[in-house]
Amino acid sequence: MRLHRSLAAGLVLALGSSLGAEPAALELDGGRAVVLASPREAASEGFADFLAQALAQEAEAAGLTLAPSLEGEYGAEEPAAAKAAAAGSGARWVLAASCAIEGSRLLWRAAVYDGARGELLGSDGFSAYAGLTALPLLAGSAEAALAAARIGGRSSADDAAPPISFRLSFASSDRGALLSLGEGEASFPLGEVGESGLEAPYLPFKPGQRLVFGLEKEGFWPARKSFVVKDEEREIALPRLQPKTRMAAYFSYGSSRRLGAAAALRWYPVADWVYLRAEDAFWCAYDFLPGSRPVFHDELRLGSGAYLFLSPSSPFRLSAGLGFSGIATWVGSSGLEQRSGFDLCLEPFFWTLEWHRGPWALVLEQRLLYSLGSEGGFLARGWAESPDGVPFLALGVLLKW
Amino acid sequence: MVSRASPAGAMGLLASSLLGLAAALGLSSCAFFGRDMFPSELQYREASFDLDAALAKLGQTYRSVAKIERLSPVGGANRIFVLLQTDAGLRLAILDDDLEGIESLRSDSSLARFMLGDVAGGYACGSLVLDAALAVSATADASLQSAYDAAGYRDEASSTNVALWMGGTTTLSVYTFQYDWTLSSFPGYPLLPVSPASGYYLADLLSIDAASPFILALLPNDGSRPLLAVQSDRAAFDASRGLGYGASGAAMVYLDFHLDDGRIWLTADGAVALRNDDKVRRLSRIDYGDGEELDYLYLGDSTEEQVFSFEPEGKFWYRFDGKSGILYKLRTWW
Repeated sequence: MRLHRSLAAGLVLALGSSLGAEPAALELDGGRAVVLASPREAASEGFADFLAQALAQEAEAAGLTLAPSLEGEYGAEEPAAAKAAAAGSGARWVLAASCAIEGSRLLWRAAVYDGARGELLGSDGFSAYAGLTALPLLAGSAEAALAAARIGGRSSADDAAPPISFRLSFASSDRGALLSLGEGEASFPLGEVGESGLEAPYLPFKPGQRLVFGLEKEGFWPARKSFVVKDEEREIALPRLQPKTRMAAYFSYGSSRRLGAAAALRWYPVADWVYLRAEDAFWCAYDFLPGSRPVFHDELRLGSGAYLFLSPSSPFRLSAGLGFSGIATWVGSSGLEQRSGFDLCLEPFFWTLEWHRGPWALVLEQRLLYSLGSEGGFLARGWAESPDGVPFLALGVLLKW
Repeated sequence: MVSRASPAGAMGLLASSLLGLAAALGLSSCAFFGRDMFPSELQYREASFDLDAALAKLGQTYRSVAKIERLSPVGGANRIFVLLQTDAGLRLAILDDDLEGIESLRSDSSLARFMLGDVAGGYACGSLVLDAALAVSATADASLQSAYDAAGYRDEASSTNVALWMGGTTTLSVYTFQYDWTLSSFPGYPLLPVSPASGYYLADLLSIDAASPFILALLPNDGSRPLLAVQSDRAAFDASRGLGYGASGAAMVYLDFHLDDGRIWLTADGAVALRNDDKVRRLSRIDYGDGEELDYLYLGDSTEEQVFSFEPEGKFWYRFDGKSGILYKLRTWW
């Protein structure tokens, strides 16, 4: 039975936990390869030489130059032997050829290693009757191993550059989030974000390759990150996950209430899309001039809003809504017949621009206010005029949960 | 690594943003904190009166309020005179000083913009003279009806009432009346040393008593800068007979801005001008010494249908809001 294992090395290595502790890459020549023949057995020596030669030919065909061949030691692990061969020759790519005779059958394996880390990039193994008929199969294995490793300049323009020699690392403040390569069902999990981010298993991506990563966490909106692979090791900043919001508190300061502030509560019947809001603002108008007396106002504002255009995972969001408000006023002057009043206002439109940072957001808000000219109020019927011509703007912080 | 931003950090960011916002909006102005969507003079209200409703009860309709003046006759009660423009001519509503109600509503062909609390405890409006009980006591010279810019003062020492107005482009008419409003003299004082060819409009006059400064607010008819003609006291004005401006030590203070709708009032604490320059519509208090702005009250986006008046002592001012029909008595802000 044929044991054909032309696997993408990254997927193979992703399953191996030992990869996490690899030392840093050595300074090796990415344009060179060295053939590492397995320890010779007299019976298989001819086949082993043929396989080594076939690997060398394939490497040359891929545009690599060859360092003098080396022979491995008995008992040595192949990855360690590959690293040693690379260190000894200065060649980045190690082409390992091994053959053995069992009865009348020849067993062989052609493998390609990244000598910088001792990582297997591609391999091909087979068995056949130990005769001349095995030679084309040996050559085929050499070709298949090189093709699986995707090194050298043979396959296409994209394959011309060697794969990156480092593991991708990611920066994220969302501890416990699961990072995947790709999105949806076709995604491949890379690991969970830890205290200091995440270092993914080695994947032989080529510089210039565009990748899409997905980030997910329970209670948060998933996020995606598109990234073009660079040939330099650099931490990839993942987008901050936005929590799914059901309630939020909002504290703000407005241009039309300069000696006061407002606090609001939002309830989201549709998380992060639709909210109902109740706000209370208290402020004092006082010029601090000899003739002035403080005037106190308290506004209760009710309304609803909905987010537009941008998804909940976006850091910037825009919402719009409407509502109404009642403003109670107390005038500090003692001689006035009317010292208090109540104005009812409609709020046909308000909008917010929000910059979300995880559990909080910075909010800029503007609104239009129409006074109904209530009996017993202080505002005339009509659009409320903002002081100094500055629109009714408020800046605040939204705390979400 | 991406650092985790905290709510505390957000509050800090908000605080610095607010400081920037406050600086941008002019925190240096004392009135900064007093500005909101409500009328800015709400903090200064002393009393208010629904003039619209009160006139309606009396069956009086009107198109606009032409003038408001608080009159303080010698030995008499302070009263608020409101001159109304109606379809049938001028009407006069007289209110008590606390704005509690209309004491008298008059219709008379002698009514005009000239108003004075006189030396005998009565009141003059145009050429109509009322006694302390608001009964008609006399009719003064009819020229007071046609003098659109007439202003006056009373001289207790000589027991006379004096009215001044621009009788010609360069002539200041000075009409002196006995205590009973019998005309005694009416010279014309040329203002040639300071007059532009197009002449002046007399916007206001301040002469609280004989010893206080005697000041005229003059608006050139050619649209050039307003002028405050300041003399040390009434005697200086009498001695100069108008000709002395500039030559007898009278100060000529030219204002470096134009008035909004030509409205300026003279008070003991400075001139108050309605301005709309620097993109701020405001009542600006001006120093008599150098014409510089001392302080101001922000008025909001519009002064349409609003009538203002400042009493000479500078303690109170009045504002009629034509939209609501309410007359307000307000404390001055200084």
